[in-house]
Amino acid sequence: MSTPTNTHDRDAAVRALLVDTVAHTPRRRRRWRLPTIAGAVVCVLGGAAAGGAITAAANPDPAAIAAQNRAALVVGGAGPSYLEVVGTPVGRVGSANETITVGRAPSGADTFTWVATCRTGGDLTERRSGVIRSTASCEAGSTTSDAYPAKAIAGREIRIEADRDLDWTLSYGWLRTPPMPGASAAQEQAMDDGIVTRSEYLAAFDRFQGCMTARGESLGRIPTSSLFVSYGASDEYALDWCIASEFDAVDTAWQVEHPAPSGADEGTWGSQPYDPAADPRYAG
Amino acid sequence: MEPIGPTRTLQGMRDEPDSGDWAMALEGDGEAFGRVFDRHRHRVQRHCMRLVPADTDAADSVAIVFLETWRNRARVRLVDGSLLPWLLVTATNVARNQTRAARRYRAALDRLPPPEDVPDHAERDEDGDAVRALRRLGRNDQEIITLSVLEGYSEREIADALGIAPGTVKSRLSRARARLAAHLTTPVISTSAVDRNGVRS
Repeated sequence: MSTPTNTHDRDAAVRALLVDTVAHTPRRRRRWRLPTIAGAVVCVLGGAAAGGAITAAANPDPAAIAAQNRAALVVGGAGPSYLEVVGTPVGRVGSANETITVGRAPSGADTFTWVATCRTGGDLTERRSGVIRSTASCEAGSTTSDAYPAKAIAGREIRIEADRDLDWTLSYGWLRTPPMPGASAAQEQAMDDGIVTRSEYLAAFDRFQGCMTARGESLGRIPTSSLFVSYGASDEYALDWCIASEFDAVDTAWQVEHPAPSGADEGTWGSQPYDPAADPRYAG
Repeated sequence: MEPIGPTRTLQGMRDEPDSGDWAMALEGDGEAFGRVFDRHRHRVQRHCMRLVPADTDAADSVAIVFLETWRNRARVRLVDGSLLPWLLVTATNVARNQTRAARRYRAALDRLPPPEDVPDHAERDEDGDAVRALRRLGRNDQEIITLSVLEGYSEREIADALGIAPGTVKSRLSRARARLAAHLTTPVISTSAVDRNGVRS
């Protein structure tokens, strides 16, 4: 039978594997995007008019009225442009600490987001359930924001702790993500043996390009000789749709097994050399 | 602000809510997922030991359950803030497809320290006839019996965990119980080897 020691070692190693897996699950890296804001602007018109009227009746402060009038635009612009604002976001001005009481998620909403624009500089700390979730140094005119899955935050509170003399404009509200596909059979097959080879990575990217072309949005000529491919598109919904269908899991697995060289960032993404001879396990 | 307290009591155990840690994990906080592992690994391990075939590497099962949960994170359903029902359902499915699931994570599992010894057959049989009968059920039956009979979840909670209507839970549970009872009264045909002297290996 096992000893307590090797059981403990195994559990600790599994835990470390899980922590590492989550921490290194890459966010999708793209070189550029051209967001379209027409949808968000349309959403603003109705919500802002109603919100502004309510705020004006209760508080004649012009800054407060402006905050409410801009809330839908700010909330709608906090994520990918295809996210749809649900309901009427809140916009308010204030200083020091603030608590956001999050109600029930409206029908169809899957994300709650808040955006703070600092009117004067200082430090902001975000707490959820009493636990510090993030801290930020916020310069005058800059913004900081966060987003939660609806299921994780509905009916709870978010505490924003700010320096006493920090003035802010806070916007928050609900968003809805249009439907996204699951992984295609080809992408599932590439993941099946737990190893994504170079040829599987490039084949998945090829299918991703084909998906974009089929939706009328070409990625253009993308070099595929570097360690990671770098790409962008103006239609964010098509981009995220095709990534989910053809590339997301494969790209994630490839990036997990091939950590980015130090110094790699958005500007240099796609220019790291790939040496098959130094990568025999995955070069096939 | 006060921390959120425990949300449910189940078989004398209090489950810490996972929703905060799960939300943080989704934002890339690995330690948050580590805390979920700390809370539930023993329950998941116990369930895996019930269902994983004796000839497979049971030591990998717990890791695979959590890795599969992360891989399918977009589809995860929390029940009253707890990830445990989802983990148990995932464990049920991993146990049925252990070899295939392990292939997916082979590279990562190979880097772990050697697993502890697999308990011998006698130790695995301590669960008794009911668990042996459970192993013979189909996947849907195993899922619902696990959550209802073994773990004590309500029909509403099971409906949330499986993403089905409460009425469906009731009818599916009724059929699963009937099949479990039938297996309990049906002798299990042993597949262990018997040598020429009649001694089981």
